[in-house]
Amino acid sequence: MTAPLVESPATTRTLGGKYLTFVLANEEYAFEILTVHEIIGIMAVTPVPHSHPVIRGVVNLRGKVIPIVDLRRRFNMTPPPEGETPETCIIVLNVRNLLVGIAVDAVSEVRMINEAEIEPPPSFGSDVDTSCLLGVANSEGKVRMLLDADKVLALDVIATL
Amino acid sequence: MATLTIDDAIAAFVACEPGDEAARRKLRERLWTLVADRSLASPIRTALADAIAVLDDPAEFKGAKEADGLEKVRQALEVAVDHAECGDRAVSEPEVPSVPKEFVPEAAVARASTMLLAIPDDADRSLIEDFIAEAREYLEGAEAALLRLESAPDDGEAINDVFRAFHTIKGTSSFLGLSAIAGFAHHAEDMLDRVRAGELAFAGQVPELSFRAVDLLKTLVAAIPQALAGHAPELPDEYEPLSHALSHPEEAAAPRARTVESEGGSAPEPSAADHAPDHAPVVMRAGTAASVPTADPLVKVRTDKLDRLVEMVGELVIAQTMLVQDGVVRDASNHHLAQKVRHADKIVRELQDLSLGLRMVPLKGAITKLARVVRDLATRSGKQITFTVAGEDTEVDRTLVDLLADPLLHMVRNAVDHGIETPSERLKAGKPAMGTVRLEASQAGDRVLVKLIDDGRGLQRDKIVAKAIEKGIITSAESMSDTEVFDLIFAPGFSTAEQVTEVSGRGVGMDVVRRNLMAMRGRTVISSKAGKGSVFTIELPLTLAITDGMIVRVGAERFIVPTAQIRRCFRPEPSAVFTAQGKGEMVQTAGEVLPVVRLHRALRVVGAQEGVDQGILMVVGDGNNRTAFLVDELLGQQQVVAKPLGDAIGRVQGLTGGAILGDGRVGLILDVDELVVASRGTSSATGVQAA
Repeated sequence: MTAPLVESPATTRTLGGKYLTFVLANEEYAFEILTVHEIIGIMAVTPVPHSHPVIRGVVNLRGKVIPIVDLRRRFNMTPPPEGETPETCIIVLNVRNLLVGIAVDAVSEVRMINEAEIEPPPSFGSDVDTSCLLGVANSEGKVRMLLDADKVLALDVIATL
Repeated sequence: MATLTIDDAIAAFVACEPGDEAARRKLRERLWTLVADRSLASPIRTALADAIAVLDDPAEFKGAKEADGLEKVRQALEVAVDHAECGDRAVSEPEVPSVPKEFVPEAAVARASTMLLAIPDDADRSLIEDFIAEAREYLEGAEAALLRLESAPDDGEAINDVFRAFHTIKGTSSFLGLSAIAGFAHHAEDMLDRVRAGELAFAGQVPELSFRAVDLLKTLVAAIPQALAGHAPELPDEYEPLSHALSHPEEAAAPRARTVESEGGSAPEPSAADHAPDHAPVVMRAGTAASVPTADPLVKVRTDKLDRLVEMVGELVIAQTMLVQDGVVRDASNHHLAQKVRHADKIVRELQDLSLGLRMVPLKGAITKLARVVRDLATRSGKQITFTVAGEDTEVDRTLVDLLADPLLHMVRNAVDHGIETPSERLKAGKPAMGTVRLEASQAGDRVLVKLIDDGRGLQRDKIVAKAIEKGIITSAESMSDTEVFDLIFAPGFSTAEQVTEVSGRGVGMDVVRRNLMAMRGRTVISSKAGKGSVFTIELPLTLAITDGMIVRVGAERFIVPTAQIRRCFRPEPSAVFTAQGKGEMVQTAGEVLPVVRLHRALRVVGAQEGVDQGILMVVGDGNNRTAFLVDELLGQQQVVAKPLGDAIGRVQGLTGGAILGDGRVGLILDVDELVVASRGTSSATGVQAA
C-alpha cells in the first residue's frame, strides 16, 4: 500500500458489532462488516509480475481492476492442500476508499459479537504475528480471530518483516 | 486555541530582546492565535491586531528604531490588557454578523474578525466548493486580460474582464460569509472601477498591483479547502499592505500617472516609447483568433462523474465485444439477430468516441499561466522577451493538461533563464534586444506535439558535459552525439538545487519531468544550435484513456503491448540468432543486430516457449534502444481502456497498468521503455531486475 498507515486508535474504539466470519485453514477469522464491500466467487486472477508476494494478482470487478491479497500467504501459511474449492471466494474490502480483494477458503456468516466476548490478542512469542488482530472473540465455545483490515493490507509493513 | 491567554502573549513579549527575530515571530504567532479566539471581546482583539500590525511593519524594526517598535507593541498590548481587565471577556459582545450585500467598510473588514480565513459554521459547503472552481476560472480570465492590457492598456473590454472577476468574487464570497476574501476583492474591485471610469490610468503601479491582487486572491481561494477542514489558515502577510495599496494606488504610482489622470476621463495613453522604462518587457500575443473569448453555452459537470461515465462506456464497449464474439451471435444462420447486434455495435462505438471527446479540453489552461511565468521571470532577470503562443486550442485529454503543467513550466523557465540572453548580450551577438519564446501546440495523428522554441544562445554542449562529469553522470563525452549530450539534462541528479524552481515552488527536477512524461507514454526531444536557439519538443498521446494494444501470449499469460511502440514483428530464422558469452542473445534482422529480451524471463512467467526461433520477435524502441521482445504468440489487436492497478499494489516495475480484455479477464499493459532499460542492465531505481 502506498498510503502511509496511521496507527489506528484501537484503544478508543469499541470492538463490539457485526462481523463477517470466514474460514482459513480450518481457523475462523472475521472482518468488521463495515469494512466489507461485497463477496464474490473466485474468478480468474491475472498474476502481476514483480508485485509483492502476498498479491495473488488482479481481477476485473465490474470494470475496476482490483488486487487480490492471498491471506494464507499474508500469514505465512501453506497453500490449501485441496486447491481451490467451490467454496473458495473473495471478500472485497473497502479500506480508506481502496477496494482490495482477499482470497479466503470459505465465508461463514455475519455474526453479532458483543464487546464482552472480545479479549485482547494473546501473545504467541515471535512465531506468530498478532499485529493484525483487533482481538479474539470467544463465544459458544469457538474462538474467532478479529482482523484489523487496515493492518492486514499494510503491505509496506509486510515488506519490512 | 482558547487555552492561550493574553498573559501568554505578554510572556512572549517579555522574551523579545532587541535583535531576537525568533522571539518576535513567536510573539506574533501567539497574537494571531489570540486574535482568532472569538471568545475574546473584539476591542481586545483589535488591540492585539494593532500589535501585529506593528510587528509586521519592517520599518518599525530597522536598526536603532527597534526599541521604538517594541515600545509600540507594548502599548498595544497594554490596551489589550486594559480591556481584558475591565472584565469584558465577552460572551455578551455580539458577533458582528457578516451581512451580505451591505458591505462592511474596510476598517472593520480587515480587522480582527478576518485575520484568519475563517469560514462561518453555517456555511453551505457545496456552494463554497463551487465558488472555489468559479473563482479560479475568473482569476485565470483576469490574469489573461491583464496580460492583454500590458500590450494594449486602453483595451476597455480587458479592463471590464478584470473588473468583473473581482466584482463577482467579491459578491459571491461575501454572500458565502468569506469576509476576508470579500474584503480584499472589494479593494481590488474599487481600483479597477476607477480605471474603468477613467479616473486612474492603467500604468505605473496599477498593473503590478492588479497582478499581485490576482495572486493573493488565488492564494486565498486555494486556502479555502484548508479552512473548510477546520484549520482556518492565517491570511498572507501581504494581505493588509496590499489592501492598503489597492485603495491608494496613487501613493505608489509614478507622478506621470497623476498628470494623465488630471487630464480627465478619456486621457490618451502615453506612447509606448515614452513609457518604455517601467513597461513590463513581455508582450503577450495570442497566435490564434481574437483575444475576446467567445462563450459557448456550457454546463458544468463534476469531473468524477465524467470519468465514471467514460469508464462505464469503456465497460459497455467490452461487454459489446463479448457479445459480438459470442458463438450464438456469430452463427450466421440468425440473420436478424446479427443485424441487430451490428446496429447496437455501431451505436456503442459512436458513444465511445463521444465520451472520449468529453474529456478533451484545450491546452489553453496549461498555457495561459506560462505567459505570466515568462513575464515575471523576464522582469526579475532584466530580459526582454516576447512570448507567443500558437495552437493553444489543440485538445488533449483533461488529465494530460494537468500533467503537462510541470514539464511546460520547466521548459519555459529553462528557456528564459538559460536560453535567452540579456539585451546587451543579444545586441552584441547581432540579435534584436527583444528575445522570442514561442510555444506551438499541434496535433499529429493520435499524438500531440508541444514545442517550445527560443532564439537564445542555445544549449552549450561544453557546459553540459562539464556539469555531467562533475556530477559523476558520465566520465567522458567523447563518443556522444549532441542529442545524447542534450539528453543529459534529464539525467537524475543533473538538475539540482539551483534549478529547483521558485516559480512552481515544488522543486521537481528535470529527471522527474521526463519520468512523468514517459509514464504518460510521452517523449521529449531537444534540438539546439549554438547562438541560434533551442527547440524543446514534448510528444504525447492524445488520450491516456484508450490504448491501441497488441495482445501477446507469453506462456499462459496474456499481456498488452501498446501498438504505437511496436516497430515490427517477425519469426526469426534459427541462423539469425546469436549469443554473446553464451548468454546475451541477439538477433540479426534487416541489416541490424538487436538484443533479445525474453519476456517470460523479464516477467517471470513459467511454461513459455524457450527457443527463440519458436516464438515471435517484436521489435520495440527507438534508435539505440531498439530491442526485440520474445513472445509466444500474437493474439490480435484491441483498443483497451488503460486502468491503474490500484493504489494497493502501487507502481509495478515493467507495467503501466491493466485493462479488461474481451473475455472479461484483466490483461497487464507492458511498460516497454522500462523493460528495455532494465534489460540493458542500467538498472536504476526504475529498472526491473533481470530474472
